[in-house]
Amino acid sequence: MEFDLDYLMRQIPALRAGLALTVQASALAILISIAIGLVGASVRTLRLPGLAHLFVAYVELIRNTPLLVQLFFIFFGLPAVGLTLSLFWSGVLALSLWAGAFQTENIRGGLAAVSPGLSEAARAVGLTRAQYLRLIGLPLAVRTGLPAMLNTCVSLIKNSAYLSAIGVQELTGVAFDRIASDFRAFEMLAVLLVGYLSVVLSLSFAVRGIEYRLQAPFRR
Amino acid sequence: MTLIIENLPLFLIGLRATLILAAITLAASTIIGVTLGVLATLPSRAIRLLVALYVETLRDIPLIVTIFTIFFGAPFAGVPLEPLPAVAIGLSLWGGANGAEIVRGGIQSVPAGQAEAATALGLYRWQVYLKVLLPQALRAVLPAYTGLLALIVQSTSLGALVGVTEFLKAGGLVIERSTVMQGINPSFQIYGFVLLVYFAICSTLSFASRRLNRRLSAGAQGRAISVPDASRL
Amino acid sequence: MLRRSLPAACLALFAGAAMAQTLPPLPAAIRDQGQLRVGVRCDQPPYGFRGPDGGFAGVEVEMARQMAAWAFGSADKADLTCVTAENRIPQLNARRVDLLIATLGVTPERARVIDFSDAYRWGGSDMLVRKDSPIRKLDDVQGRTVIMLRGTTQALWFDANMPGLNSLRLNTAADALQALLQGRGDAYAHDAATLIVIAARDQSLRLVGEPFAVSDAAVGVRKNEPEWMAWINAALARMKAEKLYDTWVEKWIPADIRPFYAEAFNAPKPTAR
Repeated sequence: MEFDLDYLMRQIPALRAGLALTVQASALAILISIAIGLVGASVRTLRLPGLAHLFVAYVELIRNTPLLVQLFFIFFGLPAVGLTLSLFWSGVLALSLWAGAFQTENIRGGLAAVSPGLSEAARAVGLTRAQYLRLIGLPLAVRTGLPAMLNTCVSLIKNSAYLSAIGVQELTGVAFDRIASDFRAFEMLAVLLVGYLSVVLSLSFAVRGIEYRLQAPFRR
Repeated sequence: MTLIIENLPLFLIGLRATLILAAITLAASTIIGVTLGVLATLPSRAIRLLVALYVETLRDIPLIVTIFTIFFGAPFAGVPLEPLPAVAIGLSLWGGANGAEIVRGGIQSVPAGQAEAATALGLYRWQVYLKVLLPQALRAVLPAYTGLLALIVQSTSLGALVGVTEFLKAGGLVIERSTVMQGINPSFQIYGFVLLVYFAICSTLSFASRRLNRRLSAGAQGRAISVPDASRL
Repeated sequence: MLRRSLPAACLALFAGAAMAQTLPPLPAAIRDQGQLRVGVRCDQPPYGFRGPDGGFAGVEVEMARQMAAWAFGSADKADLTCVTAENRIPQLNARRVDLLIATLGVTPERARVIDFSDAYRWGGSDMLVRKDSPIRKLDDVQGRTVIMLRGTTQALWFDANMPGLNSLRLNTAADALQALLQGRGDAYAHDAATLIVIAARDQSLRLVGEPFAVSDAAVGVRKNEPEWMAWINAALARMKAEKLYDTWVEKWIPADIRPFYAEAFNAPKPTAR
């Protein structure tokens, strides 16, 4: 099995462009998913009628269906009912909705861990429930839930690879496209394996480091 | 809708392939997972490191890349591998990595006193594992394992990308036929249908997993083992 | 199985239609399968697609069935598998199928990993656009988005000739057609043969009409199988001699667009970009 380094070098520009797209899509999806998570967790905790049930259904749907099918539904299915998003935005939406469900649960878990005395005290002082959430509850929830939230973000970056299935030319998409045309699977797959391992591994370590630091006040 | 009913045979063929693939993966993942999970609790640091390396590698690489690596890589390495076996192998390696984590957590959740007492009674290490640790550990990991099964069922959908006619691919074929031959686009209904069927299967498994968790926690002696979330997919 | 000596078989091949033509012996590995495992397209009319009854249909499917009849005595001995442009060669090399009759164009990249039989037809590429599109010739797509399938000759051609082009690469013809209709791209580039059929059926689309990327189409087999290759080449020659291509073109292609396809099988390859 020969490894054509020359071929690999020639593909570097395309692969670099693919990586840039991976980063862009992931970054946007992370921001949107955290926003969804904050809203969802607040809605569930405040027990807003109707909306809370919507979020429960949303989270259950996302957790119990494959990301690939969600992606196909958004890209191929939604145009039939009038919502035609570009390739890039279909991918970002799919990733955002997927991660948003988990962020909702992560932040909700964080909120539940906040000691009830705080919310009672807030009410006694005259804060509305919304103010409590904004000033006290959510900041504390995010601090507690940060490791879980960051892990979901890392998973999101890893799963951005799924976007290649609808033709987005992110890192995996570029590699698969080259394999389909030039058949140099060995070189392209090596790049993918090394690329994802290094990115995800270093991020996971960083998250574990943050988790350790956050525990500092609780360690004697 | 009529289109779904007309194509029910094709959907059933796809569903059958999905379930067979999930079953094979579950069996292979269990074998790999139990083996590695046990290895991960041995005192040897080198062995634990190797297992950790394997687990980390398989969980950090996107599953889609793992499957494509096996599918495209095998012929290059001289091993002809048809799509279904290639997907089964890829999913099993990944499932085994997740299984190893679950089993490891399960073994470590058995109170240390059990293993100590068994060793004090004169049992060899392999007997300690086989007769004392594993039976308790495996009962404890059942909820988490059911959760993993739900994830395995979901991940079989990746087979569609390498040509396995499982459930998602069956949906794609129906859409293809309608689009090119009849000019209509039923993507919304068909993919919606596919979503609902996956939801039905996996939510049942998740529900079972949660029930098992509650039942077992009632009489549990050790820590609860975390159910692998779909976010760790 | 017919087991005459090779010289006699060659004589027979050239003897003409009057005498039943004989083919070289089937390789043992293929014979032992009991059926002919062929990879065909399921999304490319008129060569390989799903017929009204949902079964396999098309000119290339007929070729596969004829080969099965000659090899094993009955057209039912053809075990057909749907392949896409992206996975057809991996499936061949993975031994899921033993030959590909799947709109496979001859390219040097592919020749590195598989072997091609003698060409049985040529095929050009074209582009499909919406009726009111400003695109009138090939170069008009500069600066626009072109939809194509991964792993096709069009993908290779655009990479080589228009490297900066914004291309949307999907997996099946149906996906590409949908993307064009949904406005995700300005043009859909694919084999002219398939686009002609689609355009004939959909009045809102038209062909750009400037052929490019003309290549021969051949049967694909794994490397280092000379016996099998010899049989396939003999079978293809027999199909041409017995004018079977014309019958199949007549069967699967509506009369108004037939001449184009008959030329693809019988006339030599034209020159284009």
